[in-house]
Amino acid sequence: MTAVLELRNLDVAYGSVSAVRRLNLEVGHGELVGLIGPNGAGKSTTLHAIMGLVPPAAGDVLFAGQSVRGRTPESIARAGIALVPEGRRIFGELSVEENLRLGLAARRRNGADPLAAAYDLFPMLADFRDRQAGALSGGQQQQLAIGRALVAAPDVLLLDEPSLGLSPTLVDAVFGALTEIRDRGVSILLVEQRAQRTVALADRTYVLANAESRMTLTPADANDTDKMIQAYLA
Amino acid sequence: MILAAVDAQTLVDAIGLGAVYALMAVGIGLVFGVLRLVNFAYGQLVMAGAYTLAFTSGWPVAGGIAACFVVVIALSLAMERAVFRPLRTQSPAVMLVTTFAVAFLLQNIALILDIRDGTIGEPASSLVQLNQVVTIGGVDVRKVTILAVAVAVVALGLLALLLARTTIGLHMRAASADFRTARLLGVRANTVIGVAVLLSGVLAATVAVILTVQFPLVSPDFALRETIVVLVGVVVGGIDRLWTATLGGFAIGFATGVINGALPTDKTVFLPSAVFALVILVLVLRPAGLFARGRAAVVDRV
Repeated sequence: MTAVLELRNLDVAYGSVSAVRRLNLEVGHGELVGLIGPNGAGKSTTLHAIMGLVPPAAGDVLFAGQSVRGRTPESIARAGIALVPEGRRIFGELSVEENLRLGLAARRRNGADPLAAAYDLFPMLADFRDRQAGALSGGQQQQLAIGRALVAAPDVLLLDEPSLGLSPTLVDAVFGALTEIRDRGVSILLVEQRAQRTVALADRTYVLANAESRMTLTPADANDTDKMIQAYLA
Repeated sequence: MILAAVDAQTLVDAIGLGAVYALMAVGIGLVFGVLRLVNFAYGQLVMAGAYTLAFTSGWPVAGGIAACFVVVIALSLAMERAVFRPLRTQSPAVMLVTTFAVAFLLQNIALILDIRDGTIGEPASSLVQLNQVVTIGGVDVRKVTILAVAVAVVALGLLALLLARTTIGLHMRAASADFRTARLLGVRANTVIGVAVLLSGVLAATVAVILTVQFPLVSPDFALRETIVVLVGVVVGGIDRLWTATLGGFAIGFATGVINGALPTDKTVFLPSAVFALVILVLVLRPAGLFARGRAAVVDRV
């Protein structure tokens, strides 16, 4: 299987501090890949490097076999990679529908109803389409942020801690939506703090610690407590 | 006593002044929204437009106005490309100081061009007939005042439609709120900035046409005082949002007009003191801006 997204020996540094070191990572077509690790391990930095928000010090980011290194965030988004950023980053003063229409900026093809991808997955968004996005609850805002990324019809969806700050029921809803999105053929790279759930859901999960990839886990490891502890503490 | 002095005549003139200042405030606010850049050199765009009108005095009026728009828009885009774009990632302080440099550079270029005939100041007289007065209900209204108000209403209305109804308008609103996230969604930074700078240039050219009617002698410091007053108005109104910035521009123009009308003729030297005393009072009472709400309340409490 060819990788739709591939990181090759990726190095990212903030000044003299190394944030990501020699990271190799692959997301295949239709795969849901996890990336877990403690705070400060370099997970968000990895996503920012993919999107062109921080320049890699060395290594490469390949999308469908082509390097996207050095391209602007908007050109990477328009190539087919969408990010659901940490903290949702919805536009609180715009309506729900306006937020979704912003997601169309990166869309490469025209469809009859381009917002349907979001409304089908999260019917709540259709009910509240004229409401100010800032008036939505945290869970609803997360659904809006995911829906906004989906309407671009990306090949790869990157998510940065989508379950952060959500109640257990809402976390279930978000993880359930991820499975559905993967089943629609979108490849996913999921950055999470909820290690066990991520390992159980993802086809493969990379464990990042101190800026380096430590090991790769499969769903079979999710209930292996020793291995999970080892992954974080070894 | 002061209120008694504010007659209909003063109000009409104050509204006219407020309309011009509001147009300038929108031009400054649009660029601030997408670049977080306070463009002190905005007045020199207006000045360049005024000189263009002066140097084309022999042309048909429409030709002179067209030349004014071409020069100002081209200068506005060139300023962005040559100065703002390379500095986009720098701190706001660096960008502000750079716009001072651009302002003085343009002022001195204007001086060099102006002084060639041995005198400073060029008349831009092709539109002076707009200074004629029509009497409406006992109040003398200069035609240019009607023009200024009409142009401001139409320009602001069109801009509101553009921002509310079009895709580029949506992208500009998003970029003003959170530039990085907008780019992550595929909004092109250069496009939204380019359109903001273009619209800002159109507004500067419009202001140049109106101001040269009121002040037909164009000199290198043309529109300089107005720019400083409008920048203050924009901050007083609330620079974070386009509409509060616009209202701030209108408010300071209107207040200037009213105070000017209320002061006895021999006391008009105190006009700037009175206006800026009012500004200080507003900023002490509402530091986030006269028309800001929501976030302003939070700032107030800190």
